[in-house]
Amino acid sequence: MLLRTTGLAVRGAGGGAAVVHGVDLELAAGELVALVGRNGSGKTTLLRAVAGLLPAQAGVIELAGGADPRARRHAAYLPQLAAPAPWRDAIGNAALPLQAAGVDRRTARRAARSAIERQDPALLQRGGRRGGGLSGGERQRLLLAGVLALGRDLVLLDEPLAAVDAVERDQAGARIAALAARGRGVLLVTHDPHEAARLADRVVVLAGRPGTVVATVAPGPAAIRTAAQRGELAEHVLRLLEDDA
Amino acid sequence: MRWLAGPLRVLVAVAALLGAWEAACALLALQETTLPAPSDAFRAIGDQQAVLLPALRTTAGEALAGLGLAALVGGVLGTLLALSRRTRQVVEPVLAVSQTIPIIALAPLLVTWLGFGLAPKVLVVALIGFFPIVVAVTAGVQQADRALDELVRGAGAGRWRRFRLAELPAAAPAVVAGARVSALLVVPGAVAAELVGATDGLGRLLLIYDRDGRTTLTFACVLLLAALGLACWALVEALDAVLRRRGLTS
Repeated sequence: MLLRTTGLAVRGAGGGAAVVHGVDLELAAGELVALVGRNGSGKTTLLRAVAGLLPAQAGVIELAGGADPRARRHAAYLPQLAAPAPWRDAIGNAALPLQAAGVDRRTARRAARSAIERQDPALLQRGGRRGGGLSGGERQRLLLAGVLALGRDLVLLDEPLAAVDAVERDQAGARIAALAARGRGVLLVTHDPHEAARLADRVVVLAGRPGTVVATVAPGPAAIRTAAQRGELAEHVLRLLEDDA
Repeated sequence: MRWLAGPLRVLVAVAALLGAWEAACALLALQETTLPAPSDAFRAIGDQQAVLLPALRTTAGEALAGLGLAALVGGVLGTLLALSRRTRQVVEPVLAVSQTIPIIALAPLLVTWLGFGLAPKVLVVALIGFFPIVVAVTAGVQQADRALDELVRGAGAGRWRRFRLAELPAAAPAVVAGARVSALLVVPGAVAAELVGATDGLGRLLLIYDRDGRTTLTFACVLLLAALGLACWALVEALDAVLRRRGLTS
């Protein structure tokens, strides 16, 4: 198991009352789990805690089988609405997570370049561009490539397709699904039931104030899901969300 | 060519100001002892350059050394405050209170302690100039994009790497703004320090010429000081241009 949370409660970034509580969550290698919920249900807070950015108020987060605080080294985290640094070119932005992890600049740039070559070669044409000169979709893809260059088994993505246009969304979605197919574990936060139905092997629905897991829908691997099954799943998830008044 | 536009505008403004002054003197037929025309002041600078230029060099040295010290101290202090919230909570009120003390009032004391030479002037200038830079760095790091900061932290960055990779670059525009304020404060600071007690410098000459009623030479000093102030300002503009080319300021 790559990730297991048990009875997890987390306060918001500013402290105060718990935003999520009693969360039991499991994620295995090669699995893509979508975390779905309405605004304010604590999706992002939960993801931040798993990424090691917020402390657990109660409960345990185990990454790759250990509760070691250093275990967050096992996760790669792409925050919501992340925008590239305008003072870095495209390669430099992709190299940022590696540099943050302590890799020196030159090595990080080389690794970032080869990560882009593997995952999203079209981005290389943008190599020399400053962050500000990229489209919304390119920005997301670039930072995703940078986060994946960390080479960590567990990938935490917070609304990674939010700024991506409809055409790119299909391609980017496929790229994310491929991560799981290659053996990484992906925890994907989204508010869109259709996105979850298209990409996720398992859908975890978060609801209530404070938020907790109200349902886990496990229809089997996303790869073999038909369009009709996808629609059905999305409808089901939507109804679960509607119950969260 | 965008970097040229700012300096060019300033030069045009300066020329317009001097032109208006010259025209006013001619039209109103003012006595040179009341208000000398810029052309008179420039001629005086030429005539007395053997005295004025060494004094300019002294004052410029004080202002630039003071600005350098202010940037160093302000940068280091600002970084320390930015890195630790607890340090900020303790030091920031002390700094704020310290800024209510008129530095000029301290100048006589500094002269008593350090003599009539360069040191008290540089210190006065630095004391005046460092605060805007401290404020700029501490306020600037808070401009860091939250998601980018989380990206860096999530990848495993500790406090220092987070500062270096996400916060400091984001603070660049604020730091330039702070440095611009400091740069405009240093020349008046150096002159004020010289007025208190100096053996050299344009501030001291200003005092002597004014006492002797040599108005044209007084204005010559003023023009040189204004030019020096502009030069300090241009230094920050150059820094801004360098940072802009690297995408750090816009």
